[in-house]
Amino acid sequence: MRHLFLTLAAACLTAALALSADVPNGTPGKVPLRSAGALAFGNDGVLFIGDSLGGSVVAVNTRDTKASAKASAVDIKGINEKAAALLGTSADQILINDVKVNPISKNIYLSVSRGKGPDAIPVILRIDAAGKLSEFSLDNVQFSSASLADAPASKPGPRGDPRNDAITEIAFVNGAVLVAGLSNQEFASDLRSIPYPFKGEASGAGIKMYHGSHGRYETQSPIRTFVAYTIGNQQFLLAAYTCTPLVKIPVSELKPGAKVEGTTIAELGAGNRPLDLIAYRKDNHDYLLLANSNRGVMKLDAANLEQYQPIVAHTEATGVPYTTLADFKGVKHLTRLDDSSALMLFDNAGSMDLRAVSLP
Amino acid sequence: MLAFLSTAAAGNISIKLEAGAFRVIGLTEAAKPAEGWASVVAIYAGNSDVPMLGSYAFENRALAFHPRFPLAAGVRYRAVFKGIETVEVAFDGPPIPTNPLTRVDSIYPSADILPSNALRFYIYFSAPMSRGEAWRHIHLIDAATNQPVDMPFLELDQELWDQNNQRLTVLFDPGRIKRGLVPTNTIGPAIVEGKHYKLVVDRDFHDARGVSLLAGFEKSFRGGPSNRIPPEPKNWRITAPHAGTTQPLVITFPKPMDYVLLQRMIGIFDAQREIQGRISVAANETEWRFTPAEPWKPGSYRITADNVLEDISGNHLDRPFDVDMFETVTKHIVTNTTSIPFEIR
Repeated sequence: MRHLFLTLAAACLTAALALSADVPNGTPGKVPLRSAGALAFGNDGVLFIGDSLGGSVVAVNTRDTKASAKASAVDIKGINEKAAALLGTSADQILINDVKVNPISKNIYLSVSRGKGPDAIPVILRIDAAGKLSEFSLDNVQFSSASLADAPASKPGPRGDPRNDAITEIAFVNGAVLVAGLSNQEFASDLRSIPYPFKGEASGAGIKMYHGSHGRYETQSPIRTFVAYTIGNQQFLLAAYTCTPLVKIPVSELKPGAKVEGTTIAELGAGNRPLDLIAYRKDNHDYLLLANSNRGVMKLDAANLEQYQPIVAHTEATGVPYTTLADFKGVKHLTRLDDSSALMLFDNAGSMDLRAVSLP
Repeated sequence: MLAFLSTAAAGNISIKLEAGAFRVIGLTEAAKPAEGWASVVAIYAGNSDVPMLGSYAFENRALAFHPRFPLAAGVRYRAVFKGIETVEVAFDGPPIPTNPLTRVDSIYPSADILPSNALRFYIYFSAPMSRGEAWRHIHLIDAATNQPVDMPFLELDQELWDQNNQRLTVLFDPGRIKRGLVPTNTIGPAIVEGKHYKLVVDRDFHDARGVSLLAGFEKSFRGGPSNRIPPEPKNWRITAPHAGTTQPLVITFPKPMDYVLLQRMIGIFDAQREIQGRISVAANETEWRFTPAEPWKPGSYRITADNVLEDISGNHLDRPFDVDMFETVTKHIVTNTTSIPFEIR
């Protein structure tokens, strides 16, 4: 009898743990995704997917929570050809939109478009430690979603084609999903901070990101990519803007409707096309790695970021020191893999190669 | 396993493609191996050794493989059965259409002089296009040298299409336009005042069917002086129509405004409500025309414009693209509109 009681208690505890790992406020079923772009992981294996076409962010329970401290040494040539074959099509008929790693299991997730037209099918693929590629099906999962549509508020009546934002990056920071996007109409960009668990209402007004170049000329500035970073005991975003500077933004200022100005810490100069930014620690030293589709990968010394004066004077100084790692050419995506390695997706003359790289 | 091998001699197996599913004839349901059908029957797309996604079912006394996704154009599929011998049959997906049907309809701004700080182009295509090729197939060419300008545009991987993939928004690199930035001060803007350019869209840009355009497209223009003064509604000329007619209300702007935003950010209101009608843009985007659905009643009206409305250099109604600031940035922004009253008699 006692044995039965303990078994029942264990069963209840297991069930309770399973429930707590589910997506809060979530429903089971097929995710109504119109596109799968930027990816980010939250806690407990929750995967956030940016749906630019549908104007929403979806949180999905991957149930992929078996922990692994170190990732395997990924080296897959032609992942685009393999992904296309899995999806029953050819490599020129798919797009790999983003690559992210589940920090718990170290499994790799890809967001893919099967097809390149307006009816392209969004698919999430997963690569496990053995390098096996499979589909992470969205047909029967626990999910919740948040709409990115502007609150109706003071918009004029419905006329013309509504604005659509291309989501460039999402990240889970301090209990909120941060979404960076760029409008396909007015030159506007919003950084949205959506508290998670999603509460089912519209996400609230965007945060207008401004950039003041040299302390004088200020404009709205879309963020290409960003990473959360702690300086002292304050949390910041380090963000690469479309107009080239690298800025730091205090997370505490990111409130709906706010107008927030990033502090320039580096001017990365002309021809800079920032794609992905990661932060890491090596040999007791802090670094940033910025993948730049024109200039390979730049390694920035992130020690003492708080000491750099905001770049206000018109000088040639670039602020944070950096070196360009010329070995890494053609990087399309860069993300953390584990404590000592990064995952890079290279475009090798049309063959997309996925490789684990030791953090430099 | 032995039972399976004895019932599935190669000579008995044939494979067909029928109603979108691959059907393997000559197997019995009882012959299903312990490892599942996928261990003996797989379909491959192209030359890959990665089997494609799909599901197996026994239907009409044959093993059917239903692909997860519809068969793709131009792809050769290999259906492979591995028994005592291997049976492999190739099938072709639907043919890739070869007849070009799609063309560039128009490019905005339509004027043939563009300020050196022009912010964007809109390229309209007559049918949906493929995503992922824009930056290979759109070029800004220096007409004097016939050489491409190096990286004039903000080449976002995501590409800024509308919902139908028919309108592409191409942004000039803001880093080269905005005052005070290193790129602006070193390599300078992509458009130089006085020089001649061509915006070229390649014929090889594929539409959503995977077919090239009917023809390439070129827009020729000359660079003009930069334009950093916000549009001023009090300089707009309003031509009010007569009561009882459906003549258009016309707003004439001193300089071209953004083609897409003009159709979204201006409305006509009377005392109670927004007036329904049709908007059109003319005269190189210096004219906004509103034709009402019902004849105009005499009375007081107002034109209401969202202050986010931009000219072609990204200057808003109430602020230039890059604001020369000396005071601290305000902490909250309010969406504002500008109203212009007018009378209809």
